[in-house]
Amino acid sequence: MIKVFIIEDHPIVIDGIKTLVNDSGIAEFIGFAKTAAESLKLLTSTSADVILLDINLPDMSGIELCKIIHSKYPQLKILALTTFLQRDFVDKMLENGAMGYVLKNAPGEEIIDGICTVAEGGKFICEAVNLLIKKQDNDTMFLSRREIQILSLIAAGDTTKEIADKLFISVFTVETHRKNLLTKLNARNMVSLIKIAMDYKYI
Amino acid sequence: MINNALKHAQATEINIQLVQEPERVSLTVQDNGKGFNMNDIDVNKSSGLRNIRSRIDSLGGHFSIDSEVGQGAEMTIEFGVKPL
Repeated sequence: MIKVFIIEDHPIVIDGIKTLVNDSGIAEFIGFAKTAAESLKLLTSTSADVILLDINLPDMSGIELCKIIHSKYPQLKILALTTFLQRDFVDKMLENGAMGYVLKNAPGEEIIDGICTVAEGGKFICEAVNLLIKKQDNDTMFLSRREIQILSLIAAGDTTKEIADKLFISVFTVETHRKNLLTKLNARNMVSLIKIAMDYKYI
Repeated sequence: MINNALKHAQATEINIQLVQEPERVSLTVQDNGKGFNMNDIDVNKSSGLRNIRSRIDSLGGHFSIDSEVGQGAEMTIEFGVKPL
């Protein structure tokens, strides 16, 4: 059984999580703290495996608390459980040692899935946050006119030399664009590059 | 390059993107300005472009430029990076 401890100031959330965890059959609710100070006292003698950590606590930010708990008890797996659907909070929590980030309005199964994943040492980001990250990454990235031209020619099966000849540019320039495309679209090779480009409707 | 896009091309939007990898760095500046015909441009005669190119050459980089009338312009610079 995975032992779960929650740091959260709202009793209704504590009760909900307690029921969810105990009903899961794979995890057990072992306790809670309503403030950061209380949690630091209780954690000195805890047998918890996973800590569910709220960000909005009355006496300290969960982001800061995450760092403290992680440095004192590196064996504890911290899963952020919050209402904040914000990229900077996700990044900060992961930076400060959290293994995962789940929204409070996520379905129960997803929260349990998150608890199991971090307990096993994996990283877990809930679906809503994943979608946000994907969307933002896509929004901040642009492909230039030339890059899209080259992408289309690669997809059509042209070699670097053929692309260079068609666009009246040097082979070296084609290579620069090709390397930039691989990096920008986070593709491992040309096959995955074309697949990603099609998924994002660039071609 | 940004100055060129604002001053000569009357661009209203400029995209700048830096791609950094362990062994190379590439910078792309793309604008939505009035663009130009590539055949009308002689890099060796245009003082702005010649200046850019000579500075890139002296640093061992690669420079490419692409434009069409009404389609904006795009310049890409690439440098190899030597590990420290």
